Amino acid sequence: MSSPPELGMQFSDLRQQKDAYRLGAWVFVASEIMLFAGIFLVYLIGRMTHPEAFTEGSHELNQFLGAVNTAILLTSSFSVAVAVSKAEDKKYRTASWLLLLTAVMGICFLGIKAYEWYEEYERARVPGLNFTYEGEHLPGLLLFFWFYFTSTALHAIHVTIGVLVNLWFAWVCRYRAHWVPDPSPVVLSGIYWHLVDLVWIFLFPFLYLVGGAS
Amino acid sequence: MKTHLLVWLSLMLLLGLTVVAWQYHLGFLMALAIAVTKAALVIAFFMHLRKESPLTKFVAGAVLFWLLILFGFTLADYFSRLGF
Repeated sequence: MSSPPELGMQFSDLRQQKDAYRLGAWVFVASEIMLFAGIFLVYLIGRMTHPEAFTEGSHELNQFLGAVNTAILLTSSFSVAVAVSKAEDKKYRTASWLLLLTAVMGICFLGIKAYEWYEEYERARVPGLNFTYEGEHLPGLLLFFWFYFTSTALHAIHVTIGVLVNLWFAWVCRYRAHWVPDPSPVVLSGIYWHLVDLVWIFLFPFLYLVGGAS
Repeated sequence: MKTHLLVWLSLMLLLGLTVVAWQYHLGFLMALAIAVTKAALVIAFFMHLRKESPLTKFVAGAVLFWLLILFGFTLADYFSRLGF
C-alpha cells in the first residue's frame, strides 16, 4: 500500500495526521487561555475593590484608537481565515498575499498601540517608570495601570510572534509551497492568530470601556 | 468565503454595539455578553472548532470547565467573605 507524500511516517492516515495537528494546537490554545484568564481574574477583583479608580483609569485611555485597533484585529482575523481556506484548497499564491496582508495589519496594530503607550508615558501613567498622580483614587488607579501595561504588553508580545509566523508562512506559501503539501501548518498558525484576536476581544471592553462614557 | 464575510460583518457590528452600549452606560455584564458572543463566533467559524474531532472539542470544553473553577470558586470566596 503506497501512502500519500504529505503523510508523516508516524501517522496511519491523513485523517489522523490532520486531527493530531489540530489537537496539539488546541492544547496550546487552552494553556494560553488559562494564562490570560489568570490575569483577567486579577482584573476582576481589582475592579470590584476599586470601581471608581478603574472607571477613572479607563476614561484616561484613548477609546477611539482602542476601537480602531479592535477593528484592525477583527479584520486581520477575517483575512487569515480566508488565507487558511485558500491554503487548504492548495491556492498558495492567494494564501501568501492574504497572510502578508494579515501581518501588515498586525504591524499597524502594534504601531497604534505603541503610540497609545507613548501618550500614557507623556501623562506620567507608567507604573515603575514615571507614574505620578495626585488625585484621590491612588491605590486603585496604580493597580489599573499595572494591569493595563501588563496585559497589553503580554498581548503585544503575542501579536509580534503572530506577525513573524504570518510573514514566515507568507514566504513559504509563495516560494516553498512544496514544504507544505499538507496545509496543516498554515491552519495552525491561523489558529494562533485567532487566539491573539480572541484575547483582544476581551481586553478592549475591560480596559477602554469601564463605567460608561463620561 | 461567504461564511467568513458574514462572520466578519457580525463581528464589526458587535464592536459597534459594545461602544454604543458603553455610551449608554449599559454596564459590565452587557460588555461581557457582547465579548463572549464575539469570541464564540471567532472560535466556531474562524478557528473551525465546529468541524474538529470530538477529542479536540473535548479539550476546548475542558478549558471552559477550568475557567468555571477559576472564576467560580474565587468569586464565591470574594462575594461570601467581603460582601460585594
